[in-house]
Order: sequence, then structure tokens, then C-alpha cells
Amino acid sequence: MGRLPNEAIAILAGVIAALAWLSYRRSAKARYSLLRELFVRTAAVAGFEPEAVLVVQPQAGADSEFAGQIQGTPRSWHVVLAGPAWLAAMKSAAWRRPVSGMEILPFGKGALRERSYLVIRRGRRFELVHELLPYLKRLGAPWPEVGGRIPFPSR
Amino acid sequence: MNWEFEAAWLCDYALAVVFAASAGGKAQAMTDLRMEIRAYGPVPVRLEPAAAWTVLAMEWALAAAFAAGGTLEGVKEPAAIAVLLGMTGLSWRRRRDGGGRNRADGTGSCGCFGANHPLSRRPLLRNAVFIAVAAAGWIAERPAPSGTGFAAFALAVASAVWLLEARKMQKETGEWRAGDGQVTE
Repeated sequence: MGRLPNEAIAILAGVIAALAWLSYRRSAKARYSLLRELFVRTAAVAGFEPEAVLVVQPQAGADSEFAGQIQGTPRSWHVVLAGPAWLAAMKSAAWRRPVSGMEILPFGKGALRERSYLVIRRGRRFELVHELLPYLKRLGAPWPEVGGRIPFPSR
Repeated sequence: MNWEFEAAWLCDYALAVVFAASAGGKAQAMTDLRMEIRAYGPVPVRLEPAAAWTVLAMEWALAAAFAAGGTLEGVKEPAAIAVLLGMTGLSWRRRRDGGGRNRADGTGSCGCFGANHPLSRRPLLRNAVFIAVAAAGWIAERPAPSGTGFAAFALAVASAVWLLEARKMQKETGEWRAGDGQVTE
């Protein structure tokens, strides 16, 4: 079989690229709608539209340094403990702030259900932060933006 | 078929995908990138934003150089090896100083391609493979690409980057696990 001409290869590459882009757009749309659903659900539970949602795994929440930082997060955030409701209720008392259980998470068995992270709403897009400890330690500084402009709870 | 040409193109392709995916993933999560630079610790706080933009610009430049194929021969490969060695050193240092414990997810993966990216696993082994690929690409020689050949090559790079990103998002939402509903009640 002879080699395909360059034009045919370019057209084939274009078709494959179009399919790859459609797959990417479909996944991005699905993720966006799930993150939006997370904010809708947290707004219903918290009674206000949160600026950010902090999702914490039980093992991360048990870490004393990390737990200490959670207590100081802005009241405009909502905290979700990816564990059972009774554990969320316990943590709510310990952290002295409303905490929801994993039933609020709209994701299937994916990384957004199984890891700790922060979702920040920036207008019509969402930004995920996974480096939580350094980020939480910086709250209240001129940067990062979230947490810098809003009043902190009295501790 | 000239196997040296084919191997050289494959090396360029692999490295173009790697650097484009890395830069694309980082560009989507600039906050995470700054925090990761903070966690690695070699840069003063006030220089973090500049460091983040420098890393990003460097990776986009390398991605473009490799995607262009046949250009900057003998320059882009050592540059890529230097960048990869630097990143490997930082990853190793962070792992030695506590590794994944700094990340709240507790995983040993890095955020080099953005969190949850398929290429983010096993950073040290992965970078060693990329360095070997860059070294092989440095040795092998290839002809300059034609106009249509160049277009096909760039589209193939973009396809791989989009598919990897799609895979990452499917992994995040749980969509990739067959049988799971996307939205749980």
C-alpha cells in the first residue's frame, strides 16, 4: 500500500482533531454543569450563594493543622465533608460552622468526590484549588482574592 | 521508510503533547500553580506570580517548538531536558520533605499537568521517560516538514491534548467509570 498524500493525512488529522475537540467540549460541559449543581445544592442548604465550596475528605479533616485552617475560612464559603451526615454534624460542632455531608456532592465516583479541594466561583467559571494548605494559610493576605476582601469571622 | 525520521517525529510529537498538556493544565488553574510554586518553596512570595507566568511561558514556548517539528534543532531538546531536570529535582525535593502530605488529597501525584490529569502520576519516573525521549529526539535527524505535513502534525498534537483533558475531566466527574450516574441524588 502506497503512502497517503499529505493533503489526505491533513484532512484525516482535521477530522480526528474535530472529534477530540467535541469530546473535550462534552466533558467540559458535563463538569461545568456538575460544579454549578454543587453550588445550587450548597446554596439551598446554606441559605446563601457561597463564594466558594470547600470539599474535605474525612482523613484530611482529621489532620489538626488542616482542621485549624478550616475554622478560619470565610463565612461566605460553604464546607462539605465527604463523609456521612453524622460525621458532618460532629465536624460542624467542632469547626463551629455549618458543614454538609457527602449527599450534597453531585458527582459520581470520581476524583471530585474522593479528594479534598476548593471550588471558587469566578463569574461564570469555576476554579479548582487542590493545594489547600498553602492556600488556606494565605487567606486574608492581599492575594489570593477569595477571602481577602471579605470580613473574617471573629474567632 | 526511514526509521530515524519516524523516530525523530515521534519524539517531537510526544514532547509537544507533554508540554502543551502541561501548559494548558497549568493555565486553567493559575491559583493552584502559584500555590504549588509556594509549596516547592524556592521562590520568595512576591515573585510567585512572575515565577508562575515564567513557567507557563516556557512550557508554551517548548510546546510550540516541538509542535513546529524540524525547527530549533539542537536547541529545543537540551532546553526541554533542562526544564524536565529542574522539575524532577523540585518534585524529588518536595517528596523528600513530606511529599503528598502537603496536598490535601494525600496523593503522591504532582499537579504538573493540573490536578487529576492522566499524566500527573509518578512524576519522577514519568520525567525520566520524557528526558530519554528528548535525548533520543536530539540524536535523531529529520527533514523539514511541508506545509500540509506541518498542519497535520499540529492537529495531531492538539487532538492528543484535548483527549487527555477530556479524560481528566471524566476522571474528576466519575463519567469514565461505566455504569455510574453522573448526578447522584
